[in-house]
Amino acid sequence: MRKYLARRLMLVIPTVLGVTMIIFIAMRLLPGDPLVAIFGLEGARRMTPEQRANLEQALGLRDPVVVQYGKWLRDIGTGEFGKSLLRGDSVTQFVLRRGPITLEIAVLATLLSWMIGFPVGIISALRPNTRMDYAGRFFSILFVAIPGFWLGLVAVLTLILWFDYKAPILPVYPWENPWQNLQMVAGPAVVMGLGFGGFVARIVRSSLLEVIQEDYVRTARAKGVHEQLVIARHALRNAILPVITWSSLFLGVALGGSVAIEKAFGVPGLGLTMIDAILDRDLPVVQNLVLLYVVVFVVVNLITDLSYAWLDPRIRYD
Amino acid sequence: MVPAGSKTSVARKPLEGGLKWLRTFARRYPLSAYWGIVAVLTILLGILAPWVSPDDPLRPNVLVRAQEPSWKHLLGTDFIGRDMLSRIIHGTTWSLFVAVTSVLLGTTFGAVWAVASAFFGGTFDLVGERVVEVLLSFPPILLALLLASGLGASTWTVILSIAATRVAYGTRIIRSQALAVKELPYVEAARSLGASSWRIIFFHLAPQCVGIYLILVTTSLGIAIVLEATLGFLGAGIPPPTPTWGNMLGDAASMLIPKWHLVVFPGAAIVITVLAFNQLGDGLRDAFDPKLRGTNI
Amino acid sequence: MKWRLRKTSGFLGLLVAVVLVLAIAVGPAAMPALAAAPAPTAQPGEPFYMKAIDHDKAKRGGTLRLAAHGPPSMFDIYASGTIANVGAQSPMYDLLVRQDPRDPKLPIVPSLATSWTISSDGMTYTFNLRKGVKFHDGTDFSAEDVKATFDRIVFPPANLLSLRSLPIKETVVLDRHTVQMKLSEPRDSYTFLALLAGGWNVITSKKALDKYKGDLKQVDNFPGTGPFMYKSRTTESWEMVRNPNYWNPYAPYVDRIVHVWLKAWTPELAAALLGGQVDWAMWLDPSAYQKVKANPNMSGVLWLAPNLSSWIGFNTDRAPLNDSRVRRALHLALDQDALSKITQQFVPTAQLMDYLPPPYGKSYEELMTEYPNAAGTREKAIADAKKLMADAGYPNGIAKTFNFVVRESPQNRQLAAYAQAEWERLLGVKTRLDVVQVSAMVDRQVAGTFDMISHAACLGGADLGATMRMCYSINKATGKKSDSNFTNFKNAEFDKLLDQFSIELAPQRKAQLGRQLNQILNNEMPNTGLTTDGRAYGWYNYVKGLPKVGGNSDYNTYQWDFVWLDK
Repeated sequence: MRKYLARRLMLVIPTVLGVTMIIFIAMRLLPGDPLVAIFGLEGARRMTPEQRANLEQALGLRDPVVVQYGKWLRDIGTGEFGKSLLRGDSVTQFVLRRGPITLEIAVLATLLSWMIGFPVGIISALRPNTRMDYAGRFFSILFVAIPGFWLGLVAVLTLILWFDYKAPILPVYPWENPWQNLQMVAGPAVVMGLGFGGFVARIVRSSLLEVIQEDYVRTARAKGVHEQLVIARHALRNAILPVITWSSLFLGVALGGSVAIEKAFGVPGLGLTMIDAILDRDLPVVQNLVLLYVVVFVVVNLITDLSYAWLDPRIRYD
Repeated sequence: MVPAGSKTSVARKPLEGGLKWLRTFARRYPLSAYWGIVAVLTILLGILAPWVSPDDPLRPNVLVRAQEPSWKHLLGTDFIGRDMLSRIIHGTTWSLFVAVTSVLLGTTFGAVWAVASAFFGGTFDLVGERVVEVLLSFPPILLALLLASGLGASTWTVILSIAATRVAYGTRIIRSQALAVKELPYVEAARSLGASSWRIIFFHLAPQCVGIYLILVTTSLGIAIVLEATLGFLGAGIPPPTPTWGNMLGDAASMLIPKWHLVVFPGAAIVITVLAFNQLGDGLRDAFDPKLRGTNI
Repeated sequence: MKWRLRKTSGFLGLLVAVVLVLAIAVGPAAMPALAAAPAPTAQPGEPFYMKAIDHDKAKRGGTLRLAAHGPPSMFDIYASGTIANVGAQSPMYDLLVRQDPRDPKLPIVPSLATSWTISSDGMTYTFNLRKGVKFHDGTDFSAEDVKATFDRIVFPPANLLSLRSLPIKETVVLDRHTVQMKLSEPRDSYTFLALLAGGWNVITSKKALDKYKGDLKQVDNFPGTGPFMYKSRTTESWEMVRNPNYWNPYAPYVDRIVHVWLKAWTPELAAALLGGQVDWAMWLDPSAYQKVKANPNMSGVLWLAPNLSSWIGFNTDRAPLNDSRVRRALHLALDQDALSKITQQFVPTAQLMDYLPPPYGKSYEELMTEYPNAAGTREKAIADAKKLMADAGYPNGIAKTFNFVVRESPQNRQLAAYAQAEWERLLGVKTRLDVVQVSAMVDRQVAGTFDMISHAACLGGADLGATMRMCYSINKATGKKSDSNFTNFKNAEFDKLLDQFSIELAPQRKAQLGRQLNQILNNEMPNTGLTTDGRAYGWYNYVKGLPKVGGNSDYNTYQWDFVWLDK
């Protein structure tokens, strides 16, 4: 186990490095003048070539590409995550203020997906080919197909037209005002939770069905152990593994894919910040936020793999 | 994404005989077959759009801006008075074109890479594995968004961006499949008889992976359609005046209270299409190799 | 009764004596041009102080929450052209003179300058400054600070930007409370004073400017004399508190201001206002504005910015767009009123306009009754467009596919798609839409790599001549075309008339010159989709003191010192 852990940890480093390279290249590809972000269109146009040269030099934009890359890596290493060109705030401030909201949404969505997916999947597996099974399966495939941001748009439209709903605009944390915080995160969390819940239901159902036909369950049944216990102890344990794997994927997708959903709901999370930054060419913010997302994703995957290995001894020795 | 270290079995050879196979398929997986027909109809709609669509999707009429559905415009009109029904029909063409092209490009490139990786092994394989992991570390929408914004808005950059997210998807499975096949006795035999590398790859390794490849393609289509729609919604998609479903949703969302018909209909089109391809993919996967069911490719 | 008469006659006698002494001491050269500077509203004997319109009923205290477009990307207000700076930073500062925000006609009133005199040739302005004013950091305010500020604005250091174009040759300190400005060229007095009253020309201390060498980009709290002081700033908002030592004994009325960052024209902005999370909002989208007007507890106002705005510009350097017949044909092919109506779904750009505002150009009503803009004369307009194309040599359309650069925004997308479809259908002119984010626009504009470009606007101010120069003429310092002259417009007669227009002091002659300039632009048609630039504001009725008729805006200064909360 320790060897596996060590090996997996070591693999993280080149992966993250590779990620930084891709992000950096993509950012340098982005056409667009960062000085417009700082000075506005008028200001950027009115600059003389000398002023422009001076300003770019001060921002480090005139260094050779490799040097800029190196500087970025060094900054990350020292915890200096840069300042937004567009907003005069540091990336760290953004993450501290808005990160919790996005994280909260992601976690709530994952929890919701279990709360929805497990019951639906179990019922479907226990009562295959009944009406409940068909309903459950239809629900899962439907919500897997619906794009989250569209569901968000429809939800917002309905809420505005029928309930006169107005979303809070400033980040409110659960420890500040739980009710307002709930209002803010409920929409995106439910929309994503439904989508993931569909996935989870499918996985649970198919894992359970697989196991229910396996020998050891049949043996356990033959022995007369109470059916619930049989399921609980043998079948579910098998189902948990893929669900955990996929939940880590969901978490990553929630963090990244929430970008569109946050925009649909207007939630002040990191996703909205990221989208604005990419479209506005706010280089420091994009570079560091995307890196953050990816690192979180990688870490979550790592934890998943490790827990997978811990739960299923067969895997460790691969 | 398949957890590192899981095993897969060699796929059964696909059932021979076109029509016979279809009939068997329809009997065993009726839901999938039904949605398969929907998928085929959608493709047909996309191909026949210019003939089926009642109006020119690009023709504005400023006198009927943003009107709700009426007899003249069954699904209403958009902000400059273009007929929404025509736009949605043509949107099928565009969305499918982008989705199919990007998926084929991405999956094929990834599959070829995976097979080569399995065959040649060594450093090539090692480096390849790392690159795949790097690509998989990106949430797909972020990767697509970065590339689409970076390369500038155009149809081909959107296709390339989405293709990039599909490259790493499934390469692990194809790679392990190819690895397993590589060890089979008849492949060993072919090699000892002096068959060239290319021959082995094309005639022995690749065919065994076709099943998985098809499954990957069909299940990726839904994701690609949603990715394209998301890019359009976020403003990084195919430039106007091209009618794509994502663009329509993006336009609709730019008002405080979006017009309901501009939100509901393009979205419904996406849902139906994605549903159809997902179900088809599910059925195909069950048909080719039920053991893959749990892994949720 | 007798006692009062004696007092009055004594006072009058004193007044006469003072005037005589002044007249002798100062001499005929400095006789004030009283007609040009409208008298500030003040009690006789008392210096001018800004107050709420209904000052006697005003309550004190409370927190004013404002939805502001922002946040600013940096804090050097002199280098800024955006509302993000002037909107948020103004309350902490004062200007030399100010446009009275309570009066839609925006007369010039004293602020840090209590009175001023203008030389008869209009080239020298002498300002008397308020005494006993302190900056928030305790420093005393004096003429040195005014000079340092305007030197920073008019003569920025080599590595710094200044976006203001003030025709000031020199600022001179006469004594501690008197400062003099010498102009580089004549301007009529209202224009010049209104230029000084532009919201970005806030006065800061010489000490601060020296300390930071004029570079205030990272300094969010450089010292001001204003009614509010810096309290704290986060990624979401900026909080300021009442200045207890403000030189105005009557103002401000509220205790705190909080600017909340909400981007203009977005659904989030509207939701925040309509949901009661802010008390006042700037730059609402049209549907939100309608809701505000329909709400009995809210008020709204639509302000027309003095920008020269058009939705589409033609690159007049590139063939065949260098032929004015082709440009006029493309202009006629589009239903001009429809262009405004399309964009009004997103932005309350009020309506179709002429190149220049009245009295130099035609008003919306006049335009709508005349061909070719009225919807009723579309057929004739299209026929004329086709004829012009035929005259220019393109009866069957043009083979080339034009490159149409579109600045990313919801309204531009729709508009460009509309124009593209109509041009192809009616004239056989094909275009390719190139949607570009704002940050990439500068490259395209400067390089001129486009045939058509969307939303060319010249941000105007009090000086229409300067605005026109930016949009359609050359930069006198460099000799090259002006920064905002996207259309590469070159017309010698226009330039000559513009020079005369800028320095003309007599209103009638100025109007005549202006109309000639407008006519040249209409003949040449370097743009199409001419429009006014409307900005919609909304607020709750418990915010008192804001005029309900458009006049002021956040580009002039909203120091919020004339507003109180009835809560």
